Amino acid sequence: MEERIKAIMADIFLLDPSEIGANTSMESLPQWDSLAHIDLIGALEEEFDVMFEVDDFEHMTDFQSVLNKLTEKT
Amino acid sequence: MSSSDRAEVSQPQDDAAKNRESVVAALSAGDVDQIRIAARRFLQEAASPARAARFLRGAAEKAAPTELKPFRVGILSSFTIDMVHDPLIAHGLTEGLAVDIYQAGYDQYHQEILSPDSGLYRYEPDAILLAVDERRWAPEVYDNYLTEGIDQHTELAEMVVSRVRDLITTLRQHCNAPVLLHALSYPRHPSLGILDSTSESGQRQLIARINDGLAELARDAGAIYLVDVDAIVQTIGYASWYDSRLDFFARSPIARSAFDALARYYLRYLRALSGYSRKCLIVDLDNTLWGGIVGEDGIMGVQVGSEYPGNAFVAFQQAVRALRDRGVVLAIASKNNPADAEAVFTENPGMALTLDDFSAREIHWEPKSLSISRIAEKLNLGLRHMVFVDDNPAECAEVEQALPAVTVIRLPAQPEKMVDTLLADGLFDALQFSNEDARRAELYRQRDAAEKLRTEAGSLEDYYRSLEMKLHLTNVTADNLARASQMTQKTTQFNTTTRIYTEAELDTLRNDTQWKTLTMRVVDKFGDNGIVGLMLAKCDGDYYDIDTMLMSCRVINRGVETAMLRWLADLGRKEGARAIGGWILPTKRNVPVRDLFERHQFEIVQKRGDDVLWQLDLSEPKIDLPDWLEIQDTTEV
Repeated sequence: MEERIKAIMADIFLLDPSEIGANTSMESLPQWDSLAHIDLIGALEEEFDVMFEVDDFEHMTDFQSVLNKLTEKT
Repeated sequence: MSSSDRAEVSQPQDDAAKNRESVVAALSAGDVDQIRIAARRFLQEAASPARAARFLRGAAEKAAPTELKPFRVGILSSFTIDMVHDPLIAHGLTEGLAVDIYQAGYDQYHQEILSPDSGLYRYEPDAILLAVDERRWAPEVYDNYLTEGIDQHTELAEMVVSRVRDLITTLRQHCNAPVLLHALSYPRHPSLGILDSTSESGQRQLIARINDGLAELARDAGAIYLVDVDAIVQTIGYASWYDSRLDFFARSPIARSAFDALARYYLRYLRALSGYSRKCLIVDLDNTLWGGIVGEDGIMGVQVGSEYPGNAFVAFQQAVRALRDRGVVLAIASKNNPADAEAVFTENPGMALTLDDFSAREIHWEPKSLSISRIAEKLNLGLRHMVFVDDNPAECAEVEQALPAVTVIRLPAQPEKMVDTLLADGLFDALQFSNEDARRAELYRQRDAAEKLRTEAGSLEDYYRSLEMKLHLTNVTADNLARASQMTQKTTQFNTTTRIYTEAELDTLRNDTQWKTLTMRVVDKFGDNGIVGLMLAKCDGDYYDIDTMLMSCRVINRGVETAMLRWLADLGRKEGARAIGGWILPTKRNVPVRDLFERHQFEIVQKRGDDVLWQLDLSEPKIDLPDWLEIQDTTEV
């Protein structure tokens, strides 16, 4: 699952998957803006066939929290 | 998982990888037709359209092939719409367009339009998207409707339309680019519930009235087109269109998965604005117009009629017929015994189409690519404007390989899905519909008859005489503005400079005394060809420059262009001009016009690369007018 998340993030943030890691966060990554955020949510929903609620979006602000939320949902 | 399972699962991934490789290869080779084909296949077969679009955009930016036609889109919106960029750029590749986007800031549409020096105007867009949420144009119509809107229909409709009109008027003072304006959508939960659709005071009534007003405004202003957003919602469903979470969280009401449909809908406009609307549909017969194979099942045995699957084939024929009525020229390319195939049309009572609906027929056993080349030549149409539909993958592949400019649609095996497959991309959409369009199939038939006469007639002059041509000369007027603009977009062969003019531009020009405008309608013994000639000339002191001179291919080789040149020469002489002249700017397709000026005793005065400027000194004898042309001149100057 981690690899698939990295692939999606790499796609959206225009990075190499190897550059994505535990410290990738909205705060540390300038291209992870609010627009990229909704794009990311949509891409994750599509890839993992899940639905998030607004409450989830607001807390999925770094790699680890995204991974946790997805583990919980799948 | 067994190994055979794995093989099946990996199949689509292999295809996706192959599609991705072909699109990258095509982009770096810079071959426009291959880019179009590869991008279309990649997008069609992609598991995730959003990811495919992002990939295509990246690949296109990296390769940056200069062969694509640039198209600059300025986007103004009242909500977050940035996610349409990737799919719009990606789908643009399917038409050979390099779409570039200027995205105005969130909800900045007023500022962008009102400031003469705004980023939008400096960008010089080829088209502007004005995607404003209906609540922004008309809060009274949606919120508090029962207390503020219900008994104010007339005033509200007037007010909302004038809000839009004010902005459009300002925009037009700074920019002539075509505008795609989102129409107002119906509310999902009307205030009167199920009564709304029946009630005179329903929101539906009011919104329809406002949209009518916007349509009228669009027609009056010129080059404004209403985008019927509800049509997209109807196709993909409201649940796939609207995302309430993103609306309230990020003011991004359109669901992520809907942007692909939105971009494809916008592309229908971009395609038409770029002059790539398809003009000709070539159909196969067996398993396309009817089920089964006439050579095996017999003239009465093929499936076409009131029961499934025959009724689905009838529905497909009706869709094809509707395209014909809209001005699309039809043709047949079929591998069959011609007598059998034609007998289905004349003897099988289930058929909706008749043989006369087709302007060209190629029914034999030769390759279909050859048939299509012949059809293109006979009808005088470019391959880029042709669509070929067939159920047989091998035939589709043969045509695609031999004639990559032709758009090939492979029909699904289920006949009930064929209409959607044919019409989904709106390939035949045009932004104008004139009397000439409605009569095009007939016009092509007339031309066929004229061609026949030409081969029967002895000398060329006898032939011209036998046509009994009457030419009606008028200026560009409000009545023929749409047709005149359409001709600048569609005429690629007999066109000296191939400059394109919008209705709005022509409207300005016809009221400018520096410009002389002329249209020519040709009536002959076979019927009325409609307006088939246009000339725009600009007076520069005592020199009249022919900025644009064009003629529909329907009347090429009849000597009628002489009447247009004569008209300008006479006018120039009357107004004391020294000379008239014009440039020939060669393109791949305008070969028929190259010797226009030479044939009329103009002389070369300047060359710039392949471009040549010709002039006719007006002190020379007049241009001889052939005596077989009867001219009715109602121009005013």
